[in-house]
This record gives sequence, C-alpha cells and structure tokens, in this order.
Amino acid sequence: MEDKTSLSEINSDFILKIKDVSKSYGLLSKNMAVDGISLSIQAGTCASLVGRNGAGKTTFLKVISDLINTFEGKIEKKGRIAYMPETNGIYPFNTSLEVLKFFLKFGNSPFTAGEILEKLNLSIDDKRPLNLYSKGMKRKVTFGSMMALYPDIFILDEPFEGLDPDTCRDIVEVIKGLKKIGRSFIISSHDLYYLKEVSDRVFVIDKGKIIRELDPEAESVCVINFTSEIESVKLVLNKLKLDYKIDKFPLVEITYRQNLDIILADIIKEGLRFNESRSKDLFEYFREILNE
Amino acid sequence: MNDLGIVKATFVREFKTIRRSNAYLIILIADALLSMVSAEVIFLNINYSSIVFQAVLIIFFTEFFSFFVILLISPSLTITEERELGTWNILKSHQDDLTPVKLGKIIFQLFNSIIMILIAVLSLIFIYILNYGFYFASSLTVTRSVTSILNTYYPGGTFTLPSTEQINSILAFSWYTSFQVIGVAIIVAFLMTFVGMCISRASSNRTFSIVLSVFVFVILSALYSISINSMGPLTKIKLAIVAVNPLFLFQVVGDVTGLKTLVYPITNGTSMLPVSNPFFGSFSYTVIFIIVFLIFFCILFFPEFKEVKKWKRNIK
Repeated sequence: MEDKTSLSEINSDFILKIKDVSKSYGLLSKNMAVDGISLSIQAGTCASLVGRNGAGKTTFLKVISDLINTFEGKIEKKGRIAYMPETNGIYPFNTSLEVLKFFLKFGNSPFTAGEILEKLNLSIDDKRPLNLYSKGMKRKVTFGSMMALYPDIFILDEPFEGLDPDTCRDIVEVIKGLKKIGRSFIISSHDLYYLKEVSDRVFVIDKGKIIRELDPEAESVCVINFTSEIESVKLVLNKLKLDYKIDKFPLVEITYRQNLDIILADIIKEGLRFNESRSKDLFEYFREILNE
Repeated sequence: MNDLGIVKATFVREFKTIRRSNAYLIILIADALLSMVSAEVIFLNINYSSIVFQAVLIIFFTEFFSFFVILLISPSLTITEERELGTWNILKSHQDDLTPVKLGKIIFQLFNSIIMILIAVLSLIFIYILNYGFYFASSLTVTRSVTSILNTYYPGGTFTLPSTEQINSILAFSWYTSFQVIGVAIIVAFLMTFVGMCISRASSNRTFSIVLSVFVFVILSALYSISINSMGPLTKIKLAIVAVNPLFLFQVVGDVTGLKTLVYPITNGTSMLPVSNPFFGSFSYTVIFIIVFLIFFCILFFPEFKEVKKWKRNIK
C-alpha cells in the first residue's frame, strides 16, 4: 500500500518521509530488493515491517539508515537516525558499562549508562566482557547502545529475535516509554505478538513492495472448545467481561484486543476447562495476505 | 558531542580490547619469535666474530619487513572487524562524520606499530647479546673484516677502498645512528599502517582484508625486487616503482649514514652496489612518495572530513 501524500506536503509532524524508494542488485539482470516503497512516519510513532525472509526488509532499513547510498527515490528526514543491526557482535572484549559509556559520547541521551542498564534489567556491576554474555543479554546491550545514541528515529532490525519472553517484555516496555517522549521507531520483525504491542502501523512487505497495511488494533478472534458446563462458561466469561458468541457449544468464539495468553490464564484461574483454542490474530491475517 | 572526546574514547576502547584479547597476545609473541629467528638468520649468514649494532639493525629491518606482513594485516582488520560485528553500521547510521572514530583508530594503530617495532628491536638485542655477548663491536675488528672481504671479491679491481678512518667514522658503534635506523623503521611501520587502514576501509569482511593485505604486500615486494635487481638503464618509471615501497626508506637511511656502502658488501658481496649510485640517492622521490601517499590517504580515509569534502567539491 502506498502512502499517497506528496513530498511537498510534508506535515511538521512527519519526521521521516520516504517516496518511491527502489534498490536493485546485479549488473546484468536487475534483482529488485526494494521496489518503489513510499511511507511516512510521524514523531512518537512506530511503523513495523513484516514479511517473508528475503522480502527486502533489511535492505529497505539500510537504505533509510544511509548504509546503502545508491538507490532511487527520495528520503527526507528531520533529526538523527540510528540503525540496530540483526547481528549481535557488539564489542566482544568490552563490558556492558564500557560499551554504553562509549556510545554515550556520540549522542545527547538523557540517560546515563547506569540508567540504561537498569531499564534493561542488566547489572551495572557485571565486569564480564560481552563475549561471555548470552545472546539475549548481548541483544539487550545492543539495544542499550541505541538508547545511548538517543536518535530521533530508531531503526531496529529483528530486535526480538532469539530472545526469551522476559527480555522481549523489557524491550517492549522501553520502546513504549521512548515513544511517549517523542522518539519514533521503524521495526522489522517476525514476532507479530510484540509488534502488535508497540506498533501504530504494520506494513506487509513482499518482493520489495509494501502489499498491505495491517491494523495492529484489529480485533482478534479465538475459538475455544470448552469441557465445562455451558452455564459456568457463560458465568465466567461475563465475569471477565469478554465479548463472546456461542453458536455450537462447546465451541465458543471470543473476540479480544489484548494478550490471548492472559485471557486463557484468567479462564483457567476461574476453574473452566477446555481442550483446544484456535485464534485468528495478526499472524493469521499476515499468513492469509501472503497466501493470496 | 565532543570530537576530541570521541577520539580519546575510541583509543581507550581499542586499548582495552587488546588488553583482554588472546589473539593480540599471540601476535606479540609471534612478533618477538619472528624477530629472533630473523636476527639469528642474519648472524648465521655473517661470518665475522663481531658486527656493529647499527649495521645489524639496518640489515635486520630490511629482512624483517620482507615477511612481517602482520604490520599490514593488523590495521587492515580494525574497521572490517567492526563491520562484521555490526557496530560500524550503528555508528555510521547515526554520525554524518566518522573522522574522530577513524582518527582514534589510526592513533591506536600507530601506537601499536611502535610497540611492535620496539619488541622487534628488543628481540634483536637479545639475540645479538646471545651471539656476541655484552660487547658492541669495535671498529677495528670490523675494518679488518671489511677490507678483507673487499679484497676477496674485487682483487686488483678499480674499486676505491675506504680508508680506515672512514670506516671507523661510519662503523664505530653509535647510538645516534642506531636510533636513526629505529626511527626509519617506525616511519615504515606508520606507512604500512596507513596502507592497512585503507585496505580496512575498502574491505567488507575480515577474510577479504587479509587476502588484500597479502596481495598488496606481495605486489609491492615483487615490484621492488624486480626494479632493484634489474640492471637495465635507470628510468623514472623504475624509480617510481621503487619509491612506492616503504623498504626504500631503509636504502635512503643506508645512504644517509653511509652504512649501505659497507654493510651490503659484507652480507652479500656478489650483488655489491657502487659507492655512488644515483638510484639510492633519490631523497626527493621518497619525500614526494610520502607526501603523495599521505594526500591520497586523507582523501580515501576521511571522505567525510569537512576540508576534504570542500576540496572534492572544488575539484568537481
């Protein structure tokens, strides 16, 4: 889906405006990695890119970040950008504190190295070099280095890749906090669950083109096969104030906007039992679009 | 944002990295061992009971650099390593001008090359002492050796033998000449560091950096070797080829100190060079080479630097 706003109509709220950006590789046969993408990002918002492997997400992010200089189209930005790569090899022989102090020299971050470590649940007293850290901890430090640079636009390539839920939760909360203070984000990820939480717009990208925009606030539907009595099911679902529809009991269709895991945990806590649950959420919509 | 602060922070971070890196320890040990082997090979090829220290130094550095490609490889990895790790992309996306980071890296690499040279000199002194004891050769012994070798290779020839006084003045042990040779070694190391940094900027990964370093080194050595050994007429092209090789500086220092005319007959009588050879007297070529090289280095390595940008815009 193309953003139809022309470049000359830049609203002061837009911090990044991309118009018809294309990038191809190869001399003889041109392989279009990015094919005429246009979009604009407002300050304090988050746009996410989802798509298959090799869809052109990373190339597009690198073009925005000035890491690829030869491309077609126009990019207009107000403020600084910082790109977080998908690799995790940030200064392997330095400690997390040393790395953050180093990156703090480049930006005007309101945070100190200690505050960044605290926000990311990392210890300030950890004297180990980063090559002894786990993958998740290294990812946190890489994200911390972005906080130290404190750009206007954070470009994050697979920030949740290979991380445990607690670490993902830490990063999600930090992103939400940074959005509140006017920082913008462009995130490429396969983790739709966390993207839904932080994104204002989600774009599906395929073969270098934006083919659809998903609504991260869209309602999700879950069908649960209950083994409990119908009366007790109705009682609990009413108590939890859930939007549900019963056509063929024991199958109950629940429409929700929040975290499904929390809903299911609440239902179990109330003493209901069920065999299986199938949900139609952002992930299902995404799959449907790609299969079209 | 403080540019000087970034230069300092980069230097300190690089220093902390080598302090904790096992690979760097191996490089230092390799430096010391290679120097000792190189020194021992020199002493095995010199059949004299003693040889003056500064003469050994100049032979040593000329030989030493012919396989010490590590001085080229080490700086060539500094940026490509960060590219592979991803940190270079983080900084590049955020900063319009990475000159302070590059400057910090260069200063560190220059500091590193001085350490490498000093370790090499200490290793040489160690082997020198093992061979000759705590005794720096007296000029008298050397005079006899040189006179003898010259007579052996050029019996009854027209070669003008230097007087004992001349030999004494040239070959008596001198701290000044020794430091002069060490100083030239450091300048050569600096030039190789600059070449290594350019390779680092041009390479996308570590393997490519190493391959390119070896390739550049082999090409430079081959061109130098071909130019210096061909006995054809001296042309400006040949001079230019010789002048682009940092080893040429050792020939210049040999010319300055007078060591060349006496040292080379001692070690290699068959390819002895004439006393007055315009080929090695070309200081101007060396100076031009260094200036041209440094200009190219600045353009290649600091393209974002304001003055370079302004200059390039004017050219266009």
